[in-house]
Amino acid sequence: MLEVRGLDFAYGETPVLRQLSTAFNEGHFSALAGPNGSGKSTLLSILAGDLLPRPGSLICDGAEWNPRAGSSKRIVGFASQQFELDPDSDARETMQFSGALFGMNPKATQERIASLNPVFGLDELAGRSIKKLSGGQKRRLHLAASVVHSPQWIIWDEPFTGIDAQYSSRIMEFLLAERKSGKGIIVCTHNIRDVATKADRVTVLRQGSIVVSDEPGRISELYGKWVLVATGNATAQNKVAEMLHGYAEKEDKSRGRTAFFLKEKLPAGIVPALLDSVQDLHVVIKAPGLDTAIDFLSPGSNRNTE
Amino acid sequence: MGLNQFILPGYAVFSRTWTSAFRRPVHFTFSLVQPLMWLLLFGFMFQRTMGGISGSEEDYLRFLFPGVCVMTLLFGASQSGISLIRDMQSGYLYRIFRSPVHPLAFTLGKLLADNLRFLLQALILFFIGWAVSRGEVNFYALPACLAMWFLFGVSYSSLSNMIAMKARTQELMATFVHVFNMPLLFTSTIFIPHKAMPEWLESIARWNPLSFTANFTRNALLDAELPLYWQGGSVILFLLIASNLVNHYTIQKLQP
Repeated sequence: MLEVRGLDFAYGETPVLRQLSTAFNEGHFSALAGPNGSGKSTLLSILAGDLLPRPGSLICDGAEWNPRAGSSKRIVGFASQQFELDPDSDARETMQFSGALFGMNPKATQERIASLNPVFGLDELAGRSIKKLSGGQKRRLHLAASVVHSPQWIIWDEPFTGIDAQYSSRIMEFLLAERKSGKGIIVCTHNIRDVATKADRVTVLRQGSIVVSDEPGRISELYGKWVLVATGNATAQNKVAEMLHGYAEKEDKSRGRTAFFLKEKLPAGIVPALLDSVQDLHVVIKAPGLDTAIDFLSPGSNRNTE
Repeated sequence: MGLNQFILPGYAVFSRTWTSAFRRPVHFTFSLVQPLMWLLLFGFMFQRTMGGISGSEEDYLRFLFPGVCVMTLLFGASQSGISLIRDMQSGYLYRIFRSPVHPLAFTLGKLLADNLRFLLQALILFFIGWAVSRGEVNFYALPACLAMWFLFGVSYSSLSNMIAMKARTQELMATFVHVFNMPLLFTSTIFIPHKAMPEWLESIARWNPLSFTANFTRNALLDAELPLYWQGGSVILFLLIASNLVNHYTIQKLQP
């Protein structure tokens, strides 16, 4: 088990994590969700040893844990949002170099690359220069390089960004297989549908604190809401807000639209009335689910609530 | 510290640094062509003027070319930190230090790869300089010169790496290169012998590591009897130790 206790972190004067405490289990798939700036990436960077908590402590299997110790580095495979690839290398060299950094001899690295190939499509990338890879290809290589040493903990920040559906599916299957073999998986994502049905636990962050941390089904059940998303000019959105007064529990105005989190399903006729009386209005209704629950708890977390 | 944490990763860093350098021919060319231009243009342009100082026109070219070999090391070593900054900006450096590679293995691998390349460049300049000056040279002293060049190169590369880890941007690094290199060059015995310097300049040249290295090279290759200033030699050792200690500490605290 990997625990964080009382984590605080700030970038200069800007606090990002506030007394955050949580735990992650081996053999579990944990997903982190939250809007930009909620502290997800910072938390993962601290777990990976990139950033130093101040103050706060990290515990691994009951003992004080220093992620910067050599032994700790061997058990963590971290992939940040940034690609972290050497533009002067090619894909093969990147994998070989990554293996060598973990003390793997060339033969062991080759065997590992062969086993990762079907998941990340490494053969397709082989001797190609990093500069000539697309964003999705770089992401695949970046992820593959992070797990070349078969880490006990896989910690990935926005791993599916830019990857097509075929490889996203393969990579998800890889993560599930690793989980089954007892590895701990911690993934941060803006697209909660990527992981919704697969995660054992979803932890939602808002402004550096944990809002909820529970099984996806329970979060969905407790906090899932009907959501009406209104897109249009400011006048139209204000009119909708007036007409939904009493029906909406909460509003989220961002990205040029307003999401109304409803107390319950709207009676029939409300939406047609809205569309009839408000000009230049576009409306989408979303049923209760994990994505609406997360957006209700921490607005802006989820790309899917549009 | 064994095979897994030191030798294999250290060799990987060496190999990568060596290969990357030749994939960016601009830096290789810059640190080779610029000293060559100094040798040919400066040497031929000033041989009549400077010949009086060094004894004869031919003697000036003979005097100059060992200094230009050392200049090659200066230009190369001062750029050493730029690759670190590139790695920081691409995030690759953080990937490297997320692995259990020992910081010393990383430092040694990089310094060795960088400085073997600088030695290669200096050797190229040596043979060109020897051909141009057409003088006698003690080739048996070349290994001693290579050792001295390596020591200077590693020392100045370490300083460059230390500045890079603090500067973190190529612009600041470029400022360091320009602000340090030119004064260092012109307050040394690279271009003129100590006896041609005014007293105040000679007192600075004594502390200049370039003077120590250039005079060592001339004494070895040309059987000259130029002074080896202990001050300059001690600066080389100081830079070597201090820069690497600071680097080791900086790596431990490295954060994106």
